[in-house]
Amino acid sequence: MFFSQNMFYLAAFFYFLTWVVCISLRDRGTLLFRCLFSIGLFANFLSAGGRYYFSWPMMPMFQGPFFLPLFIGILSLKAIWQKQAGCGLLVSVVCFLSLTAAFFPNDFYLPFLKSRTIFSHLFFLLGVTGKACFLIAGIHAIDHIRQQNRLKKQVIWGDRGRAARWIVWGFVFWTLSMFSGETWSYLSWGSPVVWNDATVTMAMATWFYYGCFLHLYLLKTWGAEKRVYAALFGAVLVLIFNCCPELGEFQMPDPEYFQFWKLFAGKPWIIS
Amino acid sequence: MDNIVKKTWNALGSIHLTIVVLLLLVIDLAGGYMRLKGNETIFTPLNDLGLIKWINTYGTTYPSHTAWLFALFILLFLLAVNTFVCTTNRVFVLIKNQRHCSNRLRFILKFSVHIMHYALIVILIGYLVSYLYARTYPNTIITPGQIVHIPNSDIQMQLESYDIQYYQGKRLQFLNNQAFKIQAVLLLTAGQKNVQKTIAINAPFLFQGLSFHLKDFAPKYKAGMKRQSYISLIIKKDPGMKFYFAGTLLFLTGLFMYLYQWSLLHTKKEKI
Repeated sequence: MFFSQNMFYLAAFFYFLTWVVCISLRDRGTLLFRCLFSIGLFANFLSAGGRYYFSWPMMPMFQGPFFLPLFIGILSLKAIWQKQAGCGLLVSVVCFLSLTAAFFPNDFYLPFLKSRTIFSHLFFLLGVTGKACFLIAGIHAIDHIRQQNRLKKQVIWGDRGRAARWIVWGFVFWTLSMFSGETWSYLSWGSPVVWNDATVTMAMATWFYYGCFLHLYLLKTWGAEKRVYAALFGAVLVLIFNCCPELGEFQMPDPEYFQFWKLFAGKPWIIS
Repeated sequence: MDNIVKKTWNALGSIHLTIVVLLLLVIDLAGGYMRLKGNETIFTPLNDLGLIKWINTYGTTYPSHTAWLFALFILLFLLAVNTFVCTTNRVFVLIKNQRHCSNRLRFILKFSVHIMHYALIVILIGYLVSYLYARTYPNTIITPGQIVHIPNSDIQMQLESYDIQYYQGKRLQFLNNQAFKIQAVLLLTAGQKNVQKTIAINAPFLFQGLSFHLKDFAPKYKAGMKRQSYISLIIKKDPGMKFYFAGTLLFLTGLFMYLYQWSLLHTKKEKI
């Protein structure tokens, strides 16, 4: 775990540097921006890979906050790389999420034997992907509202559709995650819903909220403006109800984790 | 009279009702999260006791904690009725307008959303049947050689053999010398019929309408105090299981059909 945690702090640090460069240099320093973000993303990837490596074939329990910035970074890599509209906000959210995961880590749970099935992995990974899509949709919604306020006029239709497209994909992944969870729960406990984890209710609430959003979007019951606010509100709900419960109390990172040279001295990630 | 029936039918299938019910579900489930967190012991027996027994014991003893679950049942019932009426109306309209659609594949794909809606109803029916009629024996312990009779059936079972593999290595240090994999062979007898079945964690089996899930086992450690060998099973007769898995498959079919339809539409737009 030393390697994974170490790498995550490194990722959070580089995400923070990317954010600083993004807001201070704006349209300049694209190369520096790209380099810093790539290093952050790569360190985050190694951290996530490490967490999987040290628990495989079981699932790394409650490690979602460490995976979420990586998934948002990968899914919106094109937008960030090309500094498209909303790039600054995307980087801010990735930076914010990585810092909260670093400073508010949850209790560490050892992987357990019942998570040794493909369905538990699908449940976890598809769930994180779904959450990432919902948050990206929220970011596009904020960007749309910001642009509209700045230009004081209607922003083109395509910008609004972007948030909705992310929500459609988020809903697909979230549904697949819930079905995987249902199957895993049945195989292990003989019942499709296990009531000993309160977050199950929030997973259902999120599904119903976005189900409601898709009805409003596809049937065009609400105007486009209201739907943008609904997408933003959904992202806030995901943050409060799905991301916050996975966080723990404030904790200063152990200084030992910043001794990066130990990574190379001890080689703790090498398999025996 | 006809007019009243028609008005009620239309009101029940209204999209406004869908939106209101979905939003109420979100609020109710958010409230449920607050009540469930820290009080999981009240809800965990729901799977073992079934709904009626649970309501008569835990449900009525802790009304302030369980009220949200009763509200959830009412809202889900309303949602199922609303979904059925609304979807049926739309399916009739679609069939009526079949002539206007020249492409057969596109016409079939138009049913994707309706398939998902009907699938949701099947899943909800499955859950209801499961909570009302499932019979669970949550902790059936069996030691090697012992013959156990399963209540309310003519099935007898005997633990013929079991194989526990213990982890040895450096990667999963927390698991060293602990059980990593277990496989047990059970001999089941029902009347004149003898069947051998293999069970493992996350690998249940079905026999004469009953599902057998491996819940626990011993010894879990290779070294240390010598413990009596046993396996513990969850044995369940769940008539709702077929419904919720059929509903899940149906939902997935509809979902993939929808995505395919979406991609076709996207390709068409790009060509234009």
